[in-house]
Amino acid sequence: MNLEIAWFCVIAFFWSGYLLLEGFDFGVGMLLPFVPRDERERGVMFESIGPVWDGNEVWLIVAGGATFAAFPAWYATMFSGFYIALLLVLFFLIVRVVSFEWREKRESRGWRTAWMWANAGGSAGIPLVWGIALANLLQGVPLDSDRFFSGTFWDLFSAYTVFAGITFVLVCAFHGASFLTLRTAGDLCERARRAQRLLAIPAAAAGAAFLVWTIVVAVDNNGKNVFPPILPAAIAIAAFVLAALLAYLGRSGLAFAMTGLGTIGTVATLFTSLYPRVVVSNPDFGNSLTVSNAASAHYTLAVMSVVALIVTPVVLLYQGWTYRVFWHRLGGDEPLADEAPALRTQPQG
Amino acid sequence: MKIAASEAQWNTCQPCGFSLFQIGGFTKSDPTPSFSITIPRLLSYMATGSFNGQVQGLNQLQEQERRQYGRGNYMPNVRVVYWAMRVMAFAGVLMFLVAALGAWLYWRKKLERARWFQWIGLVGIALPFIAASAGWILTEMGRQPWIVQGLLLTRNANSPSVSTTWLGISLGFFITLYLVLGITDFLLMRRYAHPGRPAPREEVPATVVSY
Repeated sequence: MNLEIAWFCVIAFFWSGYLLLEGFDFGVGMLLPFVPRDERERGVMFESIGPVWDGNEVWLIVAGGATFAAFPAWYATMFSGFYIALLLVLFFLIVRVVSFEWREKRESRGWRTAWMWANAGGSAGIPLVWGIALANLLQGVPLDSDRFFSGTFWDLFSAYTVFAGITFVLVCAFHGASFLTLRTAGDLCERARRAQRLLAIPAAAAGAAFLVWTIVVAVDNNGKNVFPPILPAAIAIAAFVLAALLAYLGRSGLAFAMTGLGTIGTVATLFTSLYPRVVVSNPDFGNSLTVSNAASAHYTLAVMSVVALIVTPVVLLYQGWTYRVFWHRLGGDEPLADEAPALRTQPQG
Repeated sequence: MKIAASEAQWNTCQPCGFSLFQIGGFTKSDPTPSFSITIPRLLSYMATGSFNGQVQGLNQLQEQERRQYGRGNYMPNVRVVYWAMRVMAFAGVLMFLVAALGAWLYWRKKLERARWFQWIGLVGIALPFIAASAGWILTEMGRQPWIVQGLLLTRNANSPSVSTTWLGISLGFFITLYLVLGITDFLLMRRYAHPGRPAPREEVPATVVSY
């Protein structure tokens, strides 16, 4: 396997990690206006993702960074072509980050409600835009003979891409609701379970429909055969259906694992459908960016591979460790007497 | 080129003095400052490690780059680069002096009572930000007209699919957003720093926010 293909796979890996991990904290954010009953429960929900959301966000940065370094032409076309869309993502990201830090700085009800909505809006907005953006890579955008984006912002919207955005939002919400049922206790957990069941069927149905539609678009717009992409798609569809089933059976842990698998399968389907192209050109198919015409020089890729092989395991280890440290249920009616002191000994920040 | 520009050194010199402050001398047609304070031989030492080192001047470097890359002006804005360097360096020295003064007061056990120094310390919060910003202006402006020295000119480096209008809109958008966030942050800090205000109370005593 040559290095270009390897880095294409690495970028797909980073995207799945991002959507898998940040997916559930987006979901928790989206449920903020609906699931908690009072300010205290809202605080518990913020805390359930508090120690991990920013680590999850790093996956997006490495996905973007790896694209920039390994496929500069892909990065250039995608990030300047989707300029307004990515401006929106940045706006949502900034407001959402601030909401975590500032919400608790004042006790006024209006202040807290405002930041709660800021978080919920960002949490729904970001997967919506990413869904639309990633679907556009496959559906195709107008590229000129220099392989630069030559369309407008409105070219990014079509039935398929908007449906992709909505699917990402629904799957994240379902994924987040499962996560909440695992991380909370008592009444809040009960209501998270209700939200999880409510979201299960719409999310699974949207996920499955999106995957089928993706295969159709891959065949129509990217000249692909139904086989390879059908493989990850089948796994993802099965995972989504199982997740919904498990949610109704009250097996939240497994349901969470299945929405995670479904998310990985969805990213895998998208990237398998794209290969060997990275941005499909539509209508001039010949102008498409491919893995080989968008890639960096071999030397760059070789250096990046060495660095990635050394650093990535370290990052995975400390992220895993963060999850281990903070893995305990929050916010039952009982004060968490036996757990709180242990928590306090953790270093701040 | 960046060193020559940040020192407003128009012609090659040996040895070279370090200019602390100068009026005029920032354009090709007016290369000699009308007033300046200079430390002899210091620039030679800083640039080459020897008190008698040679530092290339802007005119000579321009000629050299013109031969190498073709016609064009390869000099950055000398006035901006010169002052960015000075602001960064002076702010850095000032930070050190404030810290040293504070350490001395602490040693003499006068720190708690020296209100005049506490005011200096408060204003001093701005110094690292000023120094860092000036440093960025120095490095980015000093690199012009190149975005990658010798390979890519800034004017050739823009995205063809992002219009000037949208660059303006997005820049305005970020300025507004950060201004609003900055003002809110300032108000929050002032609330917390207000004398007599009790320490902020955790609303949820059972759960400790540890991120």
